[in-house]
Amino acid sequence: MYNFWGYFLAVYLIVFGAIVGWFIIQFRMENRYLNDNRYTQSE
Amino acid sequence: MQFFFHNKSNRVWLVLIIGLMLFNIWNIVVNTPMVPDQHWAQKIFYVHVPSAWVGFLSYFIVMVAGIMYFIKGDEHWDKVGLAAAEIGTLFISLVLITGPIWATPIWGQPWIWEPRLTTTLILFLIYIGYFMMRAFGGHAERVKRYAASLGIIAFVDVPIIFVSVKFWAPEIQSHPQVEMTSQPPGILIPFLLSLGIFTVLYRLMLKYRIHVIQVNYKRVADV
Amino acid sequence: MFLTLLKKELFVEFRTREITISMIVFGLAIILTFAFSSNVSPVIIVNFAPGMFWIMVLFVTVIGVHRSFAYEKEFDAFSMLISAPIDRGLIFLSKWISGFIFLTIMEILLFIPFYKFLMIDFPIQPWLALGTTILINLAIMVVASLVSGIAMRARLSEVLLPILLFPLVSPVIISATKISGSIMRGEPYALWDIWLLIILTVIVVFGLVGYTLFDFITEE
Repeated sequence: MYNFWGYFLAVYLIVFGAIVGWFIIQFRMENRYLNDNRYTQSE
Repeated sequence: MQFFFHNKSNRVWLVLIIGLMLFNIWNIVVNTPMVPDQHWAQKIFYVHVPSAWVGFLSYFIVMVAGIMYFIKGDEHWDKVGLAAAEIGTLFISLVLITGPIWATPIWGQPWIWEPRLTTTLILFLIYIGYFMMRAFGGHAERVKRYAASLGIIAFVDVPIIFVSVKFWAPEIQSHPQVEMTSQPPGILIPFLLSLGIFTVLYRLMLKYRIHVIQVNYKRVADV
Repeated sequence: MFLTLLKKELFVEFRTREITISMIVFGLAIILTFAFSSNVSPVIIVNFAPGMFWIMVLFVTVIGVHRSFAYEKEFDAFSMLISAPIDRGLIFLSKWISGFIFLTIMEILLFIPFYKFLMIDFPIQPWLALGTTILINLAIMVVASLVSGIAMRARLSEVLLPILLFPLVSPVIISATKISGSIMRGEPYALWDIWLLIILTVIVVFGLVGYTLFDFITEE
């Protein structure tokens, strides 16, 4: 009746996608913060 | 400050956790037994429950960080609390998304007012308020104290919410995996393994997030 | 010291009557809305009446505690209050008990309009209803005072207060609805004692947590 495999795949893609996405976001944020020279340039 | 993954031990942990997680997925897909009436859908259990565990553990850490912030008055604990609240909300959102996906084929409808799911939803709403407080609270010094106390109150409220929701609609008690200990070992052992791996992953995420918050604070302070 | 603080709350309120009046008028407005939106039919309403009553109480509570902390913000009175050499937990207790008194007054005055406008019969055991209502008021107010202590001095307080309060108070609302429903149907005590236990737990736990935390929350 239900496509069990589809539900399984959806859950795993969402969970691990979210975790990997979180790491990518954190990495980009860290990168931006550490290379942020908007404020220091004027010195 | 330097990049989080410039530190060698953090890099080792990352590689280790990726390896463990791949092993975990392989283990779940290939080795765990098929439950006849749920088939593939039962395997959602191996990530849904660890996500919930990590979420609640994270909110527990928010409470501990709040208490420590009040006792020690140390800025560091505020960052720990913020980081744990963010990661906890990430995992709780995952629980609230995967729960209905799992429920659709098993219960026939996406949402049932099941105690654990309801408690999670209420906690999620409280934490939406927590982040609104963080974002729009104004006075930075006060907001830290308010956030710490909210973290404490929210976790203190959890058992009360759970008990009241449990007795609220006793006819709705059809959670797929009610008794954890009565699971056959073929399910229990991979599940505990998955739980452990998620916890290790959580530890790395928490450290990483605290580091990023520190970098951000330092950048703002340097201006 | 606690009595002095409580007297101050009651005295300010007695002078202006702004909290009780705004609570009562708002409560009446809610009753009116309920009556219009539910096509007054006693048979249907009787099932929803306990829930409606407690929703009304919750909304009115938000107005009440908002006022109760907002007038402290005028002339920055709250900063002076918390810099006084007193145990700040007592400020929380005085806010709690005074809020509880206002809420109870509001309920006593709105009790008859609520039942008569929605055309339902009074509960069979009025004293039981009164006793449980007092306990529930204590439970709602303890959470509300604590949350407003947190939210009031933040920006956007009028938005944050209900957003934080409603989920936190949900166990109380569930229990209150169950208790009132049971009393209206005349069910024996054994069927709803668990709900009373939850209410008492909330009072004790939040009372202690609030008393302890308020010292840190208001620290300057």
